[in-house]
Amino acid sequence: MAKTSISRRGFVKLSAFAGAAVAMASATTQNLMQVKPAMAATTGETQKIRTICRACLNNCGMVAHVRDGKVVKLEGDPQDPMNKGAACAKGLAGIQALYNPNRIKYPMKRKGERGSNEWERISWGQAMDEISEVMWEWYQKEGPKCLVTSTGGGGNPQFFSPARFLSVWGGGNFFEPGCAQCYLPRNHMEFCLNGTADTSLADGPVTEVYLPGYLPDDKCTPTKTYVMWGVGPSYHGIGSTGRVVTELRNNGMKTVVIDPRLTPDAAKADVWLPIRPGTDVALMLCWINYIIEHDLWAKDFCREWTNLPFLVHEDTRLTYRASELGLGGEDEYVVWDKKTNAAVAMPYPFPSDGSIDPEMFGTYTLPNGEKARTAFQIMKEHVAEWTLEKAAEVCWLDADKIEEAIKIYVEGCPNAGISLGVATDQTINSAQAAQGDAIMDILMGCIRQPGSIVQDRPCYVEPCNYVVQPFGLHHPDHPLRMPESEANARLGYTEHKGLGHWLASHIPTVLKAIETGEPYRPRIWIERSGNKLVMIGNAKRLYDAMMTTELNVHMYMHWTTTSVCLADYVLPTAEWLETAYAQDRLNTYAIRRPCTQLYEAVDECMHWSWLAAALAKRGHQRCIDSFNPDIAGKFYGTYWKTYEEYKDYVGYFVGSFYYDREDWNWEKFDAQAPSEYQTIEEYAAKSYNSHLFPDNDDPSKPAGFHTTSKRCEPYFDGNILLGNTGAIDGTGSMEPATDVFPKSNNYNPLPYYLEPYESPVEGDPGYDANYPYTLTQGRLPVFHHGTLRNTPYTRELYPYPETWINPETAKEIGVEDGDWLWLESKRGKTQGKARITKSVAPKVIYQERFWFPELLDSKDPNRAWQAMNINLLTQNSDDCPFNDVYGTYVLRGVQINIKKADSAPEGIWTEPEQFTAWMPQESENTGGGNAVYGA
Amino acid sequence: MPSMARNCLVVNLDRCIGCYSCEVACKMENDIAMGERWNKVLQIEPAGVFPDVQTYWLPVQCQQCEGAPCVHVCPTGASYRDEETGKVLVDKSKCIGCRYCMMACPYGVRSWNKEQKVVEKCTMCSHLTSAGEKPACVKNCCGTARFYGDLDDPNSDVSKELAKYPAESIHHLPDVGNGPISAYILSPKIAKWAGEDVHQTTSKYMTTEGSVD
Repeated sequence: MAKTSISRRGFVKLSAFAGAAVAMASATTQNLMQVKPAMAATTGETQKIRTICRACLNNCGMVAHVRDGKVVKLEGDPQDPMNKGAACAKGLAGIQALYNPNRIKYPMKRKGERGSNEWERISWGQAMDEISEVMWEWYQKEGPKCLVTSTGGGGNPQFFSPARFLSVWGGGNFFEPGCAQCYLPRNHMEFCLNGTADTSLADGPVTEVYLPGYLPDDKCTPTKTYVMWGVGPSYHGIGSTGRVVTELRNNGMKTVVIDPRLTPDAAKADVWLPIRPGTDVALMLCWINYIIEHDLWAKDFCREWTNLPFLVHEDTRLTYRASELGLGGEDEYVVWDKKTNAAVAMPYPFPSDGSIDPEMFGTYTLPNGEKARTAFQIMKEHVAEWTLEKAAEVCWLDADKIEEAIKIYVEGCPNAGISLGVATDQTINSAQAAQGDAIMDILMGCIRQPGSIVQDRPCYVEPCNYVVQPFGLHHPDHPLRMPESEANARLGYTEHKGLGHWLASHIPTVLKAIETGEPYRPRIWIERSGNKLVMIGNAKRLYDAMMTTELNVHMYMHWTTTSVCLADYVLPTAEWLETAYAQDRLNTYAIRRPCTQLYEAVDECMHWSWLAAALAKRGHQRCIDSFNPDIAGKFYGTYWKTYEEYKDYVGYFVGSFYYDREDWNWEKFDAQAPSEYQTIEEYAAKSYNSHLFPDNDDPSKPAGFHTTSKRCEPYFDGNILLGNTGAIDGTGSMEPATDVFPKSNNYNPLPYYLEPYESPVEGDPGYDANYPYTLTQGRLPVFHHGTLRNTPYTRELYPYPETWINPETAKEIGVEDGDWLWLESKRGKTQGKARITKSVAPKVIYQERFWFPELLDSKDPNRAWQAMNINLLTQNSDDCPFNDVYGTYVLRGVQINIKKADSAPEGIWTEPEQFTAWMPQESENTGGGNAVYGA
Repeated sequence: MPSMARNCLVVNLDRCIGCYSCEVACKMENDIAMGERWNKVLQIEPAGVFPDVQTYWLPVQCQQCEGAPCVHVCPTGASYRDEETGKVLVDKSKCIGCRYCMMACPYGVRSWNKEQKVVEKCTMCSHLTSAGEKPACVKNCCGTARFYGDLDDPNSDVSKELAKYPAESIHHLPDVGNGPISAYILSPKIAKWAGEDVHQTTSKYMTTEGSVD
């Protein structure tokens, strides 16, 4: 089939800029050997294919216009229930990403020294053979711990593919730079407290806001107040989240935005609280104190459906069980009854006959003579010092504005709620912020009520909603689940047990193990994401560590600094327009349909499958078993020999989980998708007051909440048990966490505030006059994490990162708008470009992560990640402490200084015309690597 | 020209969330060269005393002026008003590339096509609207902030959206006798319209910078 020419000018125009393209051609852009076309039709007709985006993790419905095998246009899908036709800049840039000259087109092997950017093209067969040979050699020598896999959370639809591979491999470590620094603390901790769901708008569980206008009006209570705490829907899942928040706000929903940065949502909020980065928990403790002090909490809900009246052991800090005091059973708790003025067992559920009326506050003497406080009393005393004035001082806010914000929130309750965004996940108080957020909504009874943010509409398969999952994730006895001894040996897991929820390891501990060989030395790194050197805190540490490994393999769509600077092999990965997947969108199930296939790119699920196949060939028994349907089982599917097999698994998964159909394959899914799997009325109703629904196992009792006590647990003593055993109900088998900060034998049942380790507050131990400014970061509407720096239309909009500086601070430093800058922390320095703006507070500096694809082919490719990368300044080093539960290192709220620079970083592109070289390039439709390699 | 339709875009700035989707949608749909924009989103810098500051995002494209200066100054008739739709358009086959129109436009919303050596501008996606579709920037807008239609038709999207707001919330870019008909909605509670003081706002959008070669 001849090369298909596209009528769109962007493609034709290429010839006009051929000179520019040739001039920048080098190791990363040449090697355009042609392979046999397999997929392109040349009928000239335009097909409109309904699919779903993956420019971020929101999966907005898109319509791809495909002509002669080429995607010629994208637009939002008007029929999608969440984005309703909207499409953001990132999604629309999908064509420029797909046909980008910087695509990794074929498997490549490093020729020169690591980082020399000299490559040779190899076949898929050779790549799999050579990589698996090294893996097999180290596996036989040192066991599964020799392997580290990683991915990126934001964009990868196959988030759990690396962990799935490790389950088959039999051990080793998995990490991603989000995780403890993005979403895991909220995803895990909020669920632990409210027994319902986390509050992340970007990640999917906050579906209530999409119901107005979709659910019939007479069945719908729109959210009255929405508190967006470090949440910027205009800048993340824009077509869905930005659109829906705009809609509700314009229909009268009140909003409070807590964000150091004046985002569009902050600008339109009823109250904007520009909080000092890293102090969110201080403000939360103040809100909790205010709610208690002003007696605003939901009386019936807290009494009947939380553990706040439970009496707590002063030494262990665990809630008493009735059996400990001879008052009742092991599964009953203890309260102080007002009527009898005595400790009594609290059965489940709360007696509806009024036989027990528990005291909510107070200290009481138990039958055994011990004194005990109620959980609520402990909470009250714990937060008492956090007055409006104290929080205002710590958080650099106005006390009256804080009060106004609390009142707006309280007025909307219970048809209201708080979403917590990524910001607090990037501070040392990550777990505590998630606790604080959950506590506020519990106190106000904003749980499972119409219009509330916390709703019980779980994905059928937690955590998150990924089709491809690690073997045995939900089945402890699955033969291909990672053995417990190996799982417990994951690096940093003993200290930071919250990581277990995502099967993850602790990044600083992984790097330390590579640096020191203690407790063992990982040898091989297989990484599937864009640009770890820009996304990981204290990036130089990652670079230094990964330069010492035995083998680095990078799987990605585009050449990045990971591939050029660190990889030994690079494996071409498919763009979202080339892949097949499935995703629920409210009450519908949507489908990602492959629209084309370029070069030898392959969906990542096949990379791992083919590696497993190559290891099976060498005798790795678990890899052999992973292809055996009798062992792998239908739930997880086997590993796949072809992409068709994989697609059929996706069809089966969706059919069996959502439509009660066991006979689906891809064809059957494709024939009807997207479609409703339940009505919107059913979808809405399944959450409201669902704790009152009959329990599945014992219909005589209400279902309650998904917690140990079946109540909401704002006093989260399960945190102590998690730290001691690895399970929140105390049934885990792990060693206790001891080496945590602040020094403690336990994780804390209540959120506590830690001043940022590097503090701008004079007199604080973390204060250093050499670093007077507080750096924060945050999303831009045209990039998702490290992506799209090489798509012309997005990069034109934002060619280099802006350094936001308040005019007062700019005057103090002596810089003007447009000045090039040096930003420096204790860990490193990098450049910025000044934008003087009242969008940030005095002393607070904002800049987003950045890298320069145009420098990959320069003399020093490392400058691509060093020139303007604030992650050279952030933490991830042994001298800076980590969050206790999750091991979070600090990305927001680090101290820096700023100086004027002489010039821009050499060689970066700043003019729009320069990016013309990255306009879509003629490419072959080959059927991808699937067409040229079958394991 | 009373019988002529008054088609234009109306942008509701209460709803505009500064995401730049309309810019990219426009460029993708119309294959606009790097460095050129038929539609540009400008942030009106936060004004006031921190933290009591106001800001908003202002997408600017051809304002479909009633007395369009670009049409008046064009020596060849390449810049013209379409009799049927009322749209101000460019007939590229008649354009000699003198660029008088670019200098005459008070809003700097005409672009120079270096390849074809002609002037271009927002056509309100005439190829789509003539087929009954909406312009790309309207279709893909993530805030549902953009509306297209005929101001003289009370049932058009633009008329219906404008009808929801009081006069104090409806604004036009500064009129220096050209009579822009594209309207903006901005409620006082979101921000004070910064467009009335021409001198203050000149540097913000009354500029041809970036458009003239």
